[in-house]
Amino acid sequence: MANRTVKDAHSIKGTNPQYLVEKITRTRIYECRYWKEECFALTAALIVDKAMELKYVGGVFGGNIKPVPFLCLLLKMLQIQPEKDIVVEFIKNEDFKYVRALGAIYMRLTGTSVDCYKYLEPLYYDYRKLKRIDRNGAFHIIHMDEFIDELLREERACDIILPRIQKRNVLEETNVLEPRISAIEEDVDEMESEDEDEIIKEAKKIIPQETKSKRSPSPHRRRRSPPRKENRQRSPGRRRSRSRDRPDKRHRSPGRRHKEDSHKRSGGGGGSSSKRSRQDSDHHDRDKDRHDHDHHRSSRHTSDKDRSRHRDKDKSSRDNREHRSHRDEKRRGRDEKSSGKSSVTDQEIKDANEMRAKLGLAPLKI
Amino acid sequence: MLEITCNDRLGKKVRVKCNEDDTIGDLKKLIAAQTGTRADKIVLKKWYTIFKDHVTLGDYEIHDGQNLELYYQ
Repeated sequence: MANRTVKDAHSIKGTNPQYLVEKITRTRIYECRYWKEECFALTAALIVDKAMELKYVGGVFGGNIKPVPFLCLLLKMLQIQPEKDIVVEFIKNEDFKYVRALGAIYMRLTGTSVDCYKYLEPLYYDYRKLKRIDRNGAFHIIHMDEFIDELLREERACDIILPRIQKRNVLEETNVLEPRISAIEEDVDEMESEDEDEIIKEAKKIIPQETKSKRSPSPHRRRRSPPRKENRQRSPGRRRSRSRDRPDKRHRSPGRRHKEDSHKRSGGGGGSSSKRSRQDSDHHDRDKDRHDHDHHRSSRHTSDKDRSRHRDKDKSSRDNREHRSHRDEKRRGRDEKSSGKSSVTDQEIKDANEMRAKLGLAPLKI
Repeated sequence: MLEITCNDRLGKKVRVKCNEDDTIGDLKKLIAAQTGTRADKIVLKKWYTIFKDHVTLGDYEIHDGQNLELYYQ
């Protein structure tokens, strides 16, 4: 009951005036202590008293979205819908600046474009300071004219989306409003003319300096030699790193590759076939599980002499080789997977860095 | 660099790449860029712990692959 709008209230922007405040914010206001204690059964007169006690302007703050009294009273005004005269009185009063601010934002929410400009622009000449609380709970000082400017230009104020009003130039063209004459316009014109003179003087100073710099090219030439020395210093280090890479070059010749592979295959094949012959004779089942991968290898029959020779020698070496081949396969598989992933994630990282640059954040650290 | 998932259990699930020294405020901006909601409307929580805007992810000990709950203000 306490949260319903007055029955004979006229709708604003086609909806319940309370719905100008978003649902989540509105729910938080209904649940807060200030609303339940102070804002119960308020009338327009009593609102004035409460508004006179306001100390700061703001929306919601904190992690758990606590509304400030300013916002609660604003919602209360939307609920009871005071007359336009009362709101204009709020705006015109000189004594209490927070009452003024409250009236101003209510007018901005509920009034027509013409009303907004008509009543809020005189407040541009009010230079008094206001305290504002931000989202983190920290207070800042702003001036009344800054606050009014935000109301007229920005989309959101005090965590409420402001309804759209027409631009001033549109209203001026239709002659509903007169063009705005700023009180500091004369001062601004003087400033501009002074700035132009200063710019001309500075340009004259810059031009003789440029000619002087053209006459002395030698400093630029001198700077080129130190980098050469630095390059020379780096080269021994580079040679050292290159020497480690050289063993890989030996393997690139095709003839050598075949020899190595044939060595591996014969050793592995001979070893596995000797193992299988032992299996057949001894019927050890556990060895079958270990060497299931050997099925694809063609079994090469070896003589008994070879078997006896290969038995003891190749057992340890064969096991090592198979372990190594296992490891290499696993590594290759992992590298392929990671390289496959890294090529996709490189693109993602680029996109992410672009987005971060747009938002003004530092790029990703890998 | 770490990648965290933000889920609001209503259909919005977003994976965001960020650094450990990014603040929660920066993370909210990244999420806002991907989801389309406003950054100041987003509330990140884990159970009842509300993450504050000025603290970095490293200080909150948010690691790679963690899931954060996405709520709205």
